[in-house]
Amino acid sequence: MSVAIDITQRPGLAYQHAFDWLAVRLHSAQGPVAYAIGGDWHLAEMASRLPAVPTFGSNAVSMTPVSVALGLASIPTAELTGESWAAVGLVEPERIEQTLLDSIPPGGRLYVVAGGRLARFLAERKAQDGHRSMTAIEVVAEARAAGFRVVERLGIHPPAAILEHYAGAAAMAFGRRDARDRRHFAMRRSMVTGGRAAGLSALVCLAMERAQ
Amino acid sequence: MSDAQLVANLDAWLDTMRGPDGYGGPVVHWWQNCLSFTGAGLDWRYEGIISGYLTLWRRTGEARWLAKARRAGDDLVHGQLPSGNFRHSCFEANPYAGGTPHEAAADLSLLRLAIALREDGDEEWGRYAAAAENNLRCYYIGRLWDENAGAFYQYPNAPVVVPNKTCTLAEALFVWAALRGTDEPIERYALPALHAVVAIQISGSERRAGAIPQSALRGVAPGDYFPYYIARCIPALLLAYEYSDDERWLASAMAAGEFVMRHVDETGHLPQVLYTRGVNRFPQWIAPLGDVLRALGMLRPHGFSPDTNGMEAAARGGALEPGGIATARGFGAQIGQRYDRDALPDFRDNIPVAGWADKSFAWLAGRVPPGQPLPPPQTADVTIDCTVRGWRAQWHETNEEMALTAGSRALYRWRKGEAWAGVVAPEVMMR
Repeated sequence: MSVAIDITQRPGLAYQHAFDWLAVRLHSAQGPVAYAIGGDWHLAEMASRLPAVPTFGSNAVSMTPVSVALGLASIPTAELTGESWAAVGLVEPERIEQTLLDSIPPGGRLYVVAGGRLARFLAERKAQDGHRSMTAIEVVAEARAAGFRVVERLGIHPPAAILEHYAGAAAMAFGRRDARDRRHFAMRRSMVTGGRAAGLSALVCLAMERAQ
Repeated sequence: MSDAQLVANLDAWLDTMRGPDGYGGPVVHWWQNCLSFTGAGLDWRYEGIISGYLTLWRRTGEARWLAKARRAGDDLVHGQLPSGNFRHSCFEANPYAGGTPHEAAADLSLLRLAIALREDGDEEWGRYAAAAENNLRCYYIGRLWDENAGAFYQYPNAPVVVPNKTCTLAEALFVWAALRGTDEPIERYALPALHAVVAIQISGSERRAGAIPQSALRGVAPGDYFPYYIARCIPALLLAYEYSDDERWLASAMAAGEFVMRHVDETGHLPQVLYTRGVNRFPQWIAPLGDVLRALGMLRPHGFSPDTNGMEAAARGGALEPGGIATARGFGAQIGQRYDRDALPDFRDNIPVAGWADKSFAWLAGRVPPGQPLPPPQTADVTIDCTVRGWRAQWHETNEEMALTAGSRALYRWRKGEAWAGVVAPEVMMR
C-alpha cells in the first residue's frame, strides 16, 4: 500500500474509523501524548491527523518522504527514556515493550488499535508481508498483566456491517440501486459496535487505564 | 428576517468556525460524515465563502469584505502541499487530500480572488493565481486528465467521470483562461470535458429528461440522478454557451434546470437522488439549496423563469440562531426513507456545516441591496431537541462549541477552532 507517499490514497473505512478514534482520544488527553505504529503506512495516517504529536522511534523507513508529502517540516519523534506519558497510542503493535507500559503512570491511558477476529479480511492486512501484529486478546492480556484495565472496547466493521453489505449486494443483483444505497448506509451505521460483538469485528479499539 | 440580516449572521457565524488553519467544523453529507476531524477543510467551502465575500465587496464597496476573501485565500495558499493538492480537501471524507470537486472549487475561488485583487490594484494577486494554477497543472491536468478520452476522472487511474465535478473544474478553467487571457484551458480541457458531460445527459420527453447522471464509467452511467448535483452543472454549461455561442450548451443547461424544477416538492425541497428505478428522497438539503437557487438564477437572463419562492423559503427557513444554516431534513430517514415532519429531527439535520452554509452565503450575498452596508449580526445560542439513532438527545451550539447530550451524558463535543472533537461517543461514530 502506497499511502505513505501518495497522499490522495485512503485506507478502507474500518481503518479510517480506527485512526479517527485514536486521534480523538489522544487529542483530548490531558498531558503529554505519543504514539507508535506497527507498519509504514500507519505513519501518514497518524502524522496527518496529529502532526504535533511525537511518534516513538518509529520503525517506518519513510519518515522523510511522508513528512515532505504532508508538507510538514518534520515528524516529531520521542524516546522511551524516563519520560512519563498521559496517554500512548499503539497501532497494530507486534509487541508491547515493558518500558512503554512503565512510562504510563497510574491514571494514564493506553489506546490500542488491534486486529479482531475478522482482521484477515481487511485489504490492508492482506497487503502486509510478514507483519504479524498482536490480536486484541493478546494486547489485553499483556496490558492487564502490567496493571491496566479495559475502560472502552469498540469493534470496527463487525459482522452486522458485513451482513448489511451483502444485503446491499443482493439488492443490486435485483437491479435495485436505491435499496443497495440504503443498505450501504445501514452498513455504515453498523460500523462501530460495543459489547461481545466487538471482538468479532475486523478491528478492535481498546482504551485501557493504569490502575491508581 | 431580511437577506442582508441573514448574510450578516452567516458572516458572524463563519468567523466562529475559524481555527488556526481556516474554516473547520463537523461535516454531514449523503455519502458519509466527518464528525471527529473538525480542523480546517480546504475544500469546496472556500468556493462559497470567497465568492460570497467578493460579492459583498462589490455590492457594498467595503474593503473589509475583500480582506475576508483574502484571508480565506491565504488559508488555501498556506495549506497547499508540495504535490499541489490542498491539505484536508476531502470534505466529508477528511482528513485526506485530493478531494474532488473540492480542489477545483478551491482553485475557482482562488482565481476569482486573484481577478478581484488585480482589479483592485493589489500586486499580491499573483500568489493566489499561482496556487490555483499549481493545483490545476499538477493534480487535475497532471493526474486526472485523460487526453485520449478527453475527460477528467474522479480519481487517479480510475476512469470514472463525475459530471458535477467536471463542471466545477470547467468553471475554474474558464476563470483561469480569463485571468491569463488565453483560450487554451477552455479549448484543450474544458470544452472536451463538458462534451463528455452533455453526451450522457438524458434527452427526450421522459420524466428524467434533462437529468445528468451522477457518474459514468467509460461512457456508461449506472442510473442515479441527484438534482442538487445536476444544478451544480448549470454554471459551467452556461459559460460554454457564452464562450462559444453554441446553442446546444444553453439547451443542456436549460434542460438541467427544468429537470431540477420538476422535482421540487410542495415544501420547496428536492429529493436527494432518483434512480432508474426508485427514489431515495431523504435527507433533503436546506443550506445547499443556495447553490441550486444561484444556478437557477443564472438561467433567468436566458428566459428560464421558474417559481422558486418555495425553495427560497426552505433555504431561509433553515437559519439557526447562532447564524449558520441547517444542513438538511430527514437524515434519520436515510435508511428507511420514512420521514415524519412532526417527529424530532435527527441530530445531523441541524448541524450547520461550513461547506454547506457557504452555498447559502454565496447566494444570499448576491441579494444584498447594492450600496448598503450590512446590519449588525443578531445571533444567539441554541438548544434543539433531536434524536441520535432514534434516542432522544439535545443539540447545543454557541459561539464557542457544538455539543450533543443525552441526559447528563455527553455524546459529542467540539470546541470551535480545534482540529478534533473532544468527545465522540460510539453512537456518534458515523463515517
